[in-house]
Amino acid sequence: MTKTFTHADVLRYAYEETTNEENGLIEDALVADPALLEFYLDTIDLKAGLNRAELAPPDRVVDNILAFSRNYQSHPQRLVA
Amino acid sequence: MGKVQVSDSELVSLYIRGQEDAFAHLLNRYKSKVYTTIYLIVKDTYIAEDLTQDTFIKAVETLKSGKYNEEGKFLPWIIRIAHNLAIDYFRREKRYPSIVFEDGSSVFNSLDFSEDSVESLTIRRETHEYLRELIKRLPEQQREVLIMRHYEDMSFQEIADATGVSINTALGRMRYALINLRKMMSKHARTYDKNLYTR
Repeated sequence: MTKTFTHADVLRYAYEETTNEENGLIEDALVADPALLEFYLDTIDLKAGLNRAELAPPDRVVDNILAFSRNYQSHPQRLVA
Repeated sequence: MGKVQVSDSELVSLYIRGQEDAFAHLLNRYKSKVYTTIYLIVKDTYIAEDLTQDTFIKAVETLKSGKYNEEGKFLPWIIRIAHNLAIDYFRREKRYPSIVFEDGSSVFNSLDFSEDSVESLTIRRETHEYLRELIKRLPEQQREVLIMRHYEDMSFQEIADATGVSINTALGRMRYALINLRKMMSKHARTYDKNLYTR
């Protein structure tokens, strides 16, 4: 009997949480079901967008953290905001 | 031949043994993930900067005092510190009641978005900055799952365990989060580039 896959399965697949065995079956289902494929393509497109939406803290913050780490052993003290 | 990337646990060991450069590598590797996670929860860049600093300071204190548990992985550990600090701050400072409308949007989200409308209009010109704005507008439960899965690298099962729901509920919330993001993007089609993948 052919297993029916849902959007939840496709989400797990897109986030690489499926087993090797499931991967093959889901890939077959994606080829056979245009709606499922559309959801998958939309999901990976959004995933890529979310990756690119990542922010970086300003250099000032990074410098403060590194300074705290360097000074910790001799004089551990909290940073002034 | 490509460079071999030193693992997190190797960097942690080197740092504990006094190699400051190892910590700089770890910081560089995860500063964006930590900062983005916090920012999407507290919704304020200045608070996110302070809490990012606090997160890594806590890590330094734990690592240098020999209290770090070697069994755990570095990324989930530091993300957990960041998440907890952000949630503590959010709960402490949250002044608006969390009333949820029929469509799933909350009063808190709406107020937050309308308050900085001039700034928001500028921000929306950039697709990925705009996407962050949309994430902030998602209903709380959906935003939580999306941040945990995408930025904190938790599995759906871990999210389910952490939030006290079934894995199907966690998956359902993630699905609605993505559908709602796409819907909100479609409503403002002129202001963003639909094809996120190729940007």
